Amino acid sequence: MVSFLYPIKKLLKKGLGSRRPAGDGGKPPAPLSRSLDDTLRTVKNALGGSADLVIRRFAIMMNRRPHPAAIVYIDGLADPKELLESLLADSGDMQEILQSAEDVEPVQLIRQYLLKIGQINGVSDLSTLYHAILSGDTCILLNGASEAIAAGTGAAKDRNISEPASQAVLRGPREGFAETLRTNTALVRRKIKNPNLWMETRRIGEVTKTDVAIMYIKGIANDKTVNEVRMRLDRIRIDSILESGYIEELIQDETYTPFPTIFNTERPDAVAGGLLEGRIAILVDGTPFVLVVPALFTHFLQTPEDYYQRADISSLLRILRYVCLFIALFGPAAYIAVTTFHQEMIPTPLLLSVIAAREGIPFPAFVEALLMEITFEILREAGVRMPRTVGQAVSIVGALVIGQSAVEAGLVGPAMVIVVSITAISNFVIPSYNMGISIRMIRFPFMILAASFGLYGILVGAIVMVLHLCSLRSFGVPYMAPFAPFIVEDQKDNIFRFPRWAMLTRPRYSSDGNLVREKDRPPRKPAP
Amino acid sequence: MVWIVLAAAACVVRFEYVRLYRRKQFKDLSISACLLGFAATLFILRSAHVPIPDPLDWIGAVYKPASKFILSALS
Amino acid sequence: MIEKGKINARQFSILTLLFSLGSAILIVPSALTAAAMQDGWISAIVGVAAGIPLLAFYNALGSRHPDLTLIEYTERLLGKWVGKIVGLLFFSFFLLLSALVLRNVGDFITTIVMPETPIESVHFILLIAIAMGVGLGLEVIARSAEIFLPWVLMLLFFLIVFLFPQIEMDRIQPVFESGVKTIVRGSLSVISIPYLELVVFLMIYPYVGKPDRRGAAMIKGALIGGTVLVLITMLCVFVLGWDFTSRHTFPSYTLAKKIQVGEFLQRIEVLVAIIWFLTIFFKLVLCFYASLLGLAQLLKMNSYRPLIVPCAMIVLMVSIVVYPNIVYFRIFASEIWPFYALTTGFLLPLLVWAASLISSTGDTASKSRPPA
Repeated sequence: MVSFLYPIKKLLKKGLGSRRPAGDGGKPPAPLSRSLDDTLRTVKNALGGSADLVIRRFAIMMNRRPHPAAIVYIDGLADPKELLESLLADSGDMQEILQSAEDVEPVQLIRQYLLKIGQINGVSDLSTLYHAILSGDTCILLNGASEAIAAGTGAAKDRNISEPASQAVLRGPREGFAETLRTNTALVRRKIKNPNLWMETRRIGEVTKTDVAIMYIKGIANDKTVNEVRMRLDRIRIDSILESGYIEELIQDETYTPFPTIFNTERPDAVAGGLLEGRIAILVDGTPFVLVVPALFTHFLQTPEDYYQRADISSLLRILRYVCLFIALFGPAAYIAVTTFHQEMIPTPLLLSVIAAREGIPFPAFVEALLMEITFEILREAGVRMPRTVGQAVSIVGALVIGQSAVEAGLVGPAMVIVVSITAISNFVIPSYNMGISIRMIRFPFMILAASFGLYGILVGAIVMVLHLCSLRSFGVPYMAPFAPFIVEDQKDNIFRFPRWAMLTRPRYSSDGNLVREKDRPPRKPAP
Repeated sequence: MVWIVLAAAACVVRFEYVRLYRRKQFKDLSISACLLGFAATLFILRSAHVPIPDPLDWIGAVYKPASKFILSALS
Repeated sequence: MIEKGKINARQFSILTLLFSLGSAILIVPSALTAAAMQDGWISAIVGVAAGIPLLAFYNALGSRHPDLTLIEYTERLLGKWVGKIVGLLFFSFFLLLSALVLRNVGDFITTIVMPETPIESVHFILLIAIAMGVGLGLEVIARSAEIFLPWVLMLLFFLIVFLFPQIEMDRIQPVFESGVKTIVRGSLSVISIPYLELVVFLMIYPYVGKPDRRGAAMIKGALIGGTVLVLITMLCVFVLGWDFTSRHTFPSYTLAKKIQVGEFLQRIEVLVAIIWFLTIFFKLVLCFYASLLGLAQLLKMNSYRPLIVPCAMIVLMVSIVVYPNIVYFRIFASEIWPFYALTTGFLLPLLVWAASLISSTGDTASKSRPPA
């Protein structure tokens, strides 16, 4: 109640003052000190004397005098073996080069000499130095030099490429993204070997400084959307990005909707397919889940496998998914509505058995449904969190046993158990997990509406839901395209999936200009 | 019914009118407030079982003669 | 311009179709057969035929001012005071129409589907959906219409197909027994519901893309809607007989009750009620939207959003008060409504059109037509 009246009280007290925007402070980068000892001490203190910070001092002979130098790296993140070899073991060659050139900065010489390392950057301020060390680079510091060298030696051990646990297919590549950004971008590049596949990186998160990459195909992706993505990513002010879910929440169009407007996937082929349609992929270091943007309602009911199997099978399976969507959404609500308000709709023999079954049940249909649904949600959630060995047994047997016992105890009717089970299984047919969660959530208000107003209530609820869906946009694209506004050309990949020879154009909304997939030779219908 | 309507009116004041006030759209605010007050009064009157006049009666009174004339010509 | 949305011609014809089906499909067959007995379907055809020129007139009026809504150019053409009064008349027509349509839904639900539910709560939750629709804007309403259209068409198709076995051609005999006068009298109900009410679409005209496609889209939608009306009336006469049809308040629902496929697909009339319900929803949301937009333009407001809840409450109250019982409604709908709708739907726009011709401030978009 207090927060309800709060803005009114505030306004009456203060009058028409506008809210002040949050302040933003920028700090100029601190330069490196020329003294080696100073820099080393600063770095050690900044990292709090961490035990994994390795500082190896050595000397470089220049002009027949030893110059102090040091390499700094973090053990476990960096693998400086090759760097050490080229610096310390071949010091004979290096000394020759250093002695012959007298005017050139020794730092530049070392940079050019260290041919064994691929990525070499100059570092001139402290924050970049810290970031380099913490990213797995080995830094070479020279006494008296204004610059340090960061040599890329990151060798974080990564997971093997294996099939993603959450999105399995029967036919198609069994590859899934891993946790390192480089591995993931490489996986995408392997699918699209085109120079137009462009990539940009950003560092997001004040404390975690996570690397985030955008990938898109220049010429196919809509430039306006790419700019929008860049703008939204640059707008993020948060201290940590641990998973792509953080980014998803921060850049999505609307927060007050249960429906997802950003698609995520663990599969490189799904990402590649999206890129070819003109969408944009956002990869986040540290997580295998890649975001694909813009995402429409139909995308959440599509799997990459639809494109690998035959057109007729895929179309039927897609129709099945839509049917399951309806069952998952309206199943319990329809059961409640029909048994409470519209009993005349049930065929008489079935009606007799339903009524007989419900005879001893103390609760009205709504409470019965609610009980069973909540029990199912508990079981499902428990099944996810339990240790792998115990999980399977408990969830399946638990569901059956609890269901059976509840029926025999007379708490719920057997018809209710059937309805709830079919609903739950239909929910899993929805390929995208975040859409599945949304449907799970929305099912409950429909149950309440069904219990109070019957089929009329469900209809009003459906209208409200459709109105809401039609008002959503994903990065400027209407969420329900190509259903509404109805785009005739895009129907080939909507509910049905037309055969390969008919898939000639890219979706009108995602891509810009480059609509035709194959310009010169339209594929011929297969002739006998 | 009255209570639901009054609760809805309170929500309108809290969400919509505060926003209008901040944006200094006083004309919109006053028109809306008049209508809201009128509607709330109607509901309060009805809950006190005061008979509310029926617009269809007025329209009927206006059009009855014309209607009689034309319909008798047609049947 | 208070509304920033834009809809395309296809969405416009879908909206017209759903609007014309609206409450008409529920109550018109009864009025038709009450007036013209078994020739009700002929009355329906006459009504539809009369409706098309009416729509052409609306198109002519709308094209003279392609960027303004009805109330906007009424005020501009007829001057400040007369224009505002006529505008208020239009606004009250739209608002009253919204209340009547809402009451239709309420009557239907409480009579047929759920007799024990108080009518105010039925109205209330529908108004929540309406308020949400209007608050989200015209584009969202049009897109939802596109999504719901297949369902409406599919259910209509099932209704017609499943009733085929029950048609008895004799029920239509003797044809033309009632005579021309009675047929014309019956057609009044079709003209007034829904064709004269289509003046509401003159409020949406400026937001439909490509001005030259608007008229064709509107006529297309209304024609299809009219055809469905004629078909349903014919089915009512064929399957139920004219006397039953004239006696029931909602004869199309009784039609649906007759569906029987084998032993198991019976008494599914509640599913068919979905058609009526969805079409009435769109009619109601468009009427309410037109009234809010009109009031906001009359009073020169920045946006119609602050008006949504107060006007919804007023509509709720009016819909409860507006008639005490169904008999009052039937008398009103057959004897008084056609004339009230004629005034606001035809005579007043005629006045506006005449003023537009006289002052020839008609927009130069119509300069392709030679001056009369």
